[in-house]
Amino acid sequence: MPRHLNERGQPPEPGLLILTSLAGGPKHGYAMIEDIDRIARVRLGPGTLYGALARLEARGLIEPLPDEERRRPYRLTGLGREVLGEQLASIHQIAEAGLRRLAVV
Amino acid sequence: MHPRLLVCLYPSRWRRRYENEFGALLEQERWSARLVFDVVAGALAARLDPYPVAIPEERAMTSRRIDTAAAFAATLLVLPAVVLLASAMIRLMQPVQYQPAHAADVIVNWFVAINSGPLVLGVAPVLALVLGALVVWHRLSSDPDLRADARLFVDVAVRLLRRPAVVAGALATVASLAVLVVAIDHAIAG
Repeated sequence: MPRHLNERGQPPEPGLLILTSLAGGPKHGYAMIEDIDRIARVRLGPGTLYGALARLEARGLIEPLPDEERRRPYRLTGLGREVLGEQLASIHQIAEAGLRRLAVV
Repeated sequence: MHPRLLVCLYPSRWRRRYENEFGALLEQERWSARLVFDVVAGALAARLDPYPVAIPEERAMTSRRIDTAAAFAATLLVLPAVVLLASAMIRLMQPVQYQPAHAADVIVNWFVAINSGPLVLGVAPVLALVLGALVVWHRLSSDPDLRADARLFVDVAVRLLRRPAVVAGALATVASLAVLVVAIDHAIAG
């Protein structure tokens, strides 16, 4: 399966990928990397992952849970769920319009 | 070199918050040049952007309270000078037998009598300036939303200044209102 790249040949925003991964339940860093690799065929590096995690946490979109043997799981906050829902709905709307015009659906 | 060692490239504030879990993640990853590059780039981004470390809500609340207290202290420090200068100005606008010039005269005379000039007009404003500037700097550096608002405010101000007719019109309106208030007050007083 090809990687999901944008028009500049870059993978989707790490923040969006992380929120999407956490929509399936709380995960720690390594589980997120594996999950994102599975759903988007993009393997985030640890530096990229934690840069995005820190920004999402500072914006109140995700929150840490008590750590488990040095691995700290994160989960979506109510605000994070709301923001993710809006972003995905917007992407979905654009994707639907584009696919319709391409007569793919 | 193990990528774990690269964690020390991150700022200390970031390490205090994420070092343990980030180190645990690095231990699970296989060493590669791409991994090293990713961690170094992440460290650089964390140094360039003070935004990414979330401060626990309790600490953020304490920090906000300290800033608020310091801001009020700065206001109190500069308040006597403001009262003194405003009184001196009001005293010049009318004969002192009329109000509010009479009250202003009493206030100015009181400040003169206690010989408070150097303290009220020198030391206190300097302290207020330092304290106020520190509060603004601290709030701006710790609050990304405030930084965005400040940038927006500056953008709006710059856009307004590029419209001389709006600025001149606004100044004329404010100045004429002030003149009318003083004139009406003068007419009522006497």
